[in-house]
Amino acid sequence: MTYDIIYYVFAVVIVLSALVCAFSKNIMRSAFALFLTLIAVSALYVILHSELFALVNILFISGIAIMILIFIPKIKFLFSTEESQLNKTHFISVITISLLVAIISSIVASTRWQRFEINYDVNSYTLIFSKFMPLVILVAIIASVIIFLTKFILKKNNS
Amino acid sequence: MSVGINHFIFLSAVLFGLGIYTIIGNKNIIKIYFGIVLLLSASLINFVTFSNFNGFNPEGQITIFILSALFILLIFIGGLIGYNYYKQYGSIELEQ
Repeated sequence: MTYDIIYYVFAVVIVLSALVCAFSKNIMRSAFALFLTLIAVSALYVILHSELFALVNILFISGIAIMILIFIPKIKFLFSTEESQLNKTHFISVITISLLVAIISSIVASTRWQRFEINYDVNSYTLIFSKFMPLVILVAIIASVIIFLTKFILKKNNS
Repeated sequence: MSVGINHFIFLSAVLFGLGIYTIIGNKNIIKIYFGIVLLLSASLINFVTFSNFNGFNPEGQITIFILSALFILLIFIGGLIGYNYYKQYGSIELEQ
């Protein structure tokens, strides 16, 4: 039951932030919505028995964050809040893609799975704090070094 | 009904559709790059879900690690291509 609640909360977060990422016309806003999507996706990896990959995914997010935070300030006009005129909502492509999603989900719903359920009882979150603890500390150190380097590079570029 | 495999596949289908819309609906290179990241994360959700099919299979996790290393390389190369496009043409909007 608790897994259902965790799944639905993070699914709502993922879908809403991906909608903001797709339809927002301000690029910085859609960048931070993308980070939120990826962090919520790594929370789903923890439910699905792959804690180690969730940690790797956080490193992946920090890599994308460096790319964006280093390269966007070099492209200065992106920081202005004025909206791009070229990005308009295309209704035909929205309808086509929602049809595609509906077809995929109807195929998935009509499939007779051999075993539908996921065995959540195997999962033990204590692994994060016992076996993977050195890795958690390593990820934290690498992420803080990355943030420090990004700040240093940005300061050097501004001066 | 408890949450099973098809809930996760439905979620990844929604992410996949939004990623495709972000790629074809925008003319900004950085937004297209965000769309590619959404597509990659949708495919990774599918891999992680099917590694839990019929018990837990560690083979799926190995595939995911190899794929994630490739994806990180691909993301950095994509960012460099976008930056060089800006340096060459002075704009990140794709022309018609």
